[in-house]
Amino acid sequence: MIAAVGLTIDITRDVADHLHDASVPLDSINSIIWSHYHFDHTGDPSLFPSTTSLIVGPGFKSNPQTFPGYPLNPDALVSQDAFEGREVLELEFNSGLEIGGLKALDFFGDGSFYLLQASGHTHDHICGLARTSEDKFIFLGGDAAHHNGLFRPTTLLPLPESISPSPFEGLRIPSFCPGSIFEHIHPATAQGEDYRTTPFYKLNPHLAESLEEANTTLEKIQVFDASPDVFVMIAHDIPAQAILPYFPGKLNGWETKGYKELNTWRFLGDFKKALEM
Amino acid sequence: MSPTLNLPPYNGSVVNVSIIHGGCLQGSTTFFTQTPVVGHDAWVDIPSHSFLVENDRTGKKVLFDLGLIKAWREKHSPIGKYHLHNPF
Repeated sequence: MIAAVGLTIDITRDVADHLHDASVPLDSINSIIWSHYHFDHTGDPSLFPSTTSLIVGPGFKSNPQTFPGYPLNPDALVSQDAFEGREVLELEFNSGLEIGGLKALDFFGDGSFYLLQASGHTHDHICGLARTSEDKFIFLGGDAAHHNGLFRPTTLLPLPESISPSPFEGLRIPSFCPGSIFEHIHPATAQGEDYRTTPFYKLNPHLAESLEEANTTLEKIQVFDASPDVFVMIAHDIPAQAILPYFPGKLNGWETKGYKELNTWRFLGDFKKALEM
Repeated sequence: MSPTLNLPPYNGSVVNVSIIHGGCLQGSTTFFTQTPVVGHDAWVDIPSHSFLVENDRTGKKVLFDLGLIKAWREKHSPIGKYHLHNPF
């Protein structure tokens, strides 16, 4: 960890360490898929053997910010050693398949895992849709949003009259919190909009290469989010840390374990200080 | 009328999904939004998650995202480090 003006990095155990601890050999990983090129998603592919391919989104290889890597390309934000000696595959979403209005690819060819074109945050941004049972899916949202309040609530997934357990209490403490307590702190209220059906936040234009595309992508993700068959999770989901079992645990069975119900409104706990002001 | 979501039909295969903690960024929640909620401005740990997706039928394993890099001091490009310190 370092002190910095902007963001600081705190990483003692990386993904390769977690795989090693669970006796999953790195050479058993067929591919690393980058949701997009930003440093907080790209990890260190050079730790993986050359048999692990690297899969990147549309436009990655033709953009001088991303390919080739540094230092070969002094302007690159990505290190060249991520690519050295391994296959780097750029996805093309030209199969004609669409899911929820997003162009899709059937990654394994058996309907178990789809990659979805979801540009806006960056030009190469993609999401994932993993089938965890016959009719249930986990939507891997990457950086389509950086906080759950950017896409909840909506008319399709309104803020409940009563949230249980309360986002201000422990997960296992029987409790509830009325949705109405958020009315006066919700920015929509001052705009004459309905706090129960409007997301708390709007996307930051500084965090989107194309704000228009990012908003269009997020609107489509909101439809997934409203489906009881899909558990939407962004890469930087903070409440997940307290709710979900981490690897080597599995998220399959999330619908019976209640992970989505616990996670959906947990972010409201972030507004504790705002409510007390 | 609500948009309907047509999820793709089941072909007999599923994947196992695990969430892996790929380290944390630390920053203010105000970085991420255009419209602040007054009082929601804490300096927080922001996890970077990776997901292991395993197809048991084919034996294939992939990682969706890889979180943070330990050797960022050595490996981040100068322009990458600049962006870290100046996110906008």
